Amino acid sequence: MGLNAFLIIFIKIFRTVFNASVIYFFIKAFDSGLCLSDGDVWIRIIGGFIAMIGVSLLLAAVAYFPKKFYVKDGYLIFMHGLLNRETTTIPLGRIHSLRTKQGIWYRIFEMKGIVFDTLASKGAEIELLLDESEWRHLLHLIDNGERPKIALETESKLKVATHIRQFGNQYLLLDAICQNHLKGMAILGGFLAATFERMNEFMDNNAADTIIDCAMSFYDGWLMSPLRLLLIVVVIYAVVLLLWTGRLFLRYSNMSMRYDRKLLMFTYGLLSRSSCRFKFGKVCTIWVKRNFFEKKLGLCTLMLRQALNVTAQKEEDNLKLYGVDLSSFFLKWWLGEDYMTESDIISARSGRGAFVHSFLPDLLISLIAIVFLCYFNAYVWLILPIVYLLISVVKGICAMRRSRIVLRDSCLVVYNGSFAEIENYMKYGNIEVVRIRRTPFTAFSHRVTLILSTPGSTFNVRSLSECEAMQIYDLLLLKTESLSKELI
Amino acid sequence: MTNVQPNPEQRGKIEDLTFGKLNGKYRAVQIAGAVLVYSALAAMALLLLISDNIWWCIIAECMNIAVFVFNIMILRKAYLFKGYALREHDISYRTGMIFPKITTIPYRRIQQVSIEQNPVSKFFGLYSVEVVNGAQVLSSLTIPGLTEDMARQIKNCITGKLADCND
Repeated sequence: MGLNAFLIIFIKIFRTVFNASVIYFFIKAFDSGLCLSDGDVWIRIIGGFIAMIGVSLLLAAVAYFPKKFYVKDGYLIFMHGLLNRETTTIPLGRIHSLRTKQGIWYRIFEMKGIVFDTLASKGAEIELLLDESEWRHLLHLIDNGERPKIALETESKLKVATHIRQFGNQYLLLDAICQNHLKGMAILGGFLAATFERMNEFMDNNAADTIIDCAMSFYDGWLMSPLRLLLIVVVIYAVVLLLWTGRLFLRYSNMSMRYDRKLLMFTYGLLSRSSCRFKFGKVCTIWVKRNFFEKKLGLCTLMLRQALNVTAQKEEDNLKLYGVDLSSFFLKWWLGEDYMTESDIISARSGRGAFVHSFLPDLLISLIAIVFLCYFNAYVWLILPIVYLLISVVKGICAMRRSRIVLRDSCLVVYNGSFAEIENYMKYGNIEVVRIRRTPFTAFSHRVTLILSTPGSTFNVRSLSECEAMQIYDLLLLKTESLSKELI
Repeated sequence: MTNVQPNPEQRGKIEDLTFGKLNGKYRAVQIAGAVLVYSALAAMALLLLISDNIWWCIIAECMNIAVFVFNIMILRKAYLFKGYALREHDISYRTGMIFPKITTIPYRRIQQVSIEQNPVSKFFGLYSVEVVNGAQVLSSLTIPGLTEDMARQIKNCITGKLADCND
């Protein structure tokens, strides 16, 4: 890691120090009780700025100099920490995913931040900052370290062909519009929460009162009619749609994929470029989602899941491919050309329990809302929980109809989803744990839940017939045993 | 590479498994654990005395006692239901009386095996075996209520199987 890496660490630390101390410095600099001249105020500001740079340089040096890494005898070894000197050794074959990020500063200094995921990493990730040549060299070392010598010799003779595929931005935008935009509410919520926090800081914790006063005056002057409420909902939805689409576009535009038989390497992002590398043997699930609009337009959302560590288990850490339906391409790459022609060995469908599981939380929410509205005599608004409940019934029926598990020769498929159809493809060799769970109602309904867990995903197939579930359980263990031998 | 249709009949069904019982002292461990937990809850319920109405505290304590008695009553059944089974290729553990669960981990997927003791089980001279795998959830399976000999036997059996798998 060179000087550029040090500069990036410095900028990151400076940003943290600046955010933490800027408000304090400005309050102190303009403190009216001190009666300072303009010159003194500027001296204080400049002094504070220099102090921040000094502290950041010191912290950057502490973070940078003890950080070393090297690859030796099939292990990636990195050392870090000044007071708590730690040496972490990762067998190259155990590295599951290798992610890079390239934000604005990284791009200016032509560096990449590299993060590894292994099954055992339960702590915070350690980022390596490398330039392009160092990154290529590390990739080469990892590739060589991961494959056995004989395989390497064979591959060098065969000269594995590498292909490049570009993904169109227009399909990304089209698919982004087809998604469930209510997820954008989370972005809007995060933005509003941050704004509220800032307002609170500058209003001596009176932001909530100010907002309530403002809302009440607005309510009094502009009495809420259903039409006006609808207008507000439409405006909020438009904002959410814009935020959601913009976020996806920023994150996934200009995507390209370099691939061969054993490796997929994605590079994506408009301003900040990221990359994600998937090894053939390390992918544990292929997730394919198609909602009504996607099906009509020939689009799909696809996710290749591999083991993620504790710090990267949020849904958004997974790379999602939005756009043209390329599921058959990826499934052929992972499962082989014959996966389409394989017949089902055994399959089982979920019963009414799947409906109950989907419907029950919505029913509780609706009942609470109904009680609340009745208490305040707002009977007109009862229409909202009733409509919500009706939608939940449809959602529950869809969830029950879609939920099933199918075992084939080379893979198993778990179908789920409610309004959207979701297919999860897994290889038997990736299954780590199988669990069967009964409920107090099993004695009457003879329905059980089958739980499957892989290094990067977990599935609950609810309300399966007990007899079919037990057959599947036994067959899964048998297949897992015989096929994981081949994987190893 | 072979691609023979697997036949679960040849291997034995999970329903037909005979689960090994946990040591009898484990019931005492469970009771001691329940006493500790419910005592802590009873102590916390005393904080309701701060409120003006003493009845809130009395109601909370009565509910706590009722749940404790119910828990003690079902502990015996829960103990009898718990069990483990080692087969040629996997290890299974059965638990949960109200929501019965059977969890199976193939030996080949096991990453780590360890023997553990907590202060309560140490007092009764019992051990537990923890089996860790690489799953996203259900990443560990703990078999409690084992004597030292039995815990070591299970650990040696699993590590032996792991060595066979790596060969």
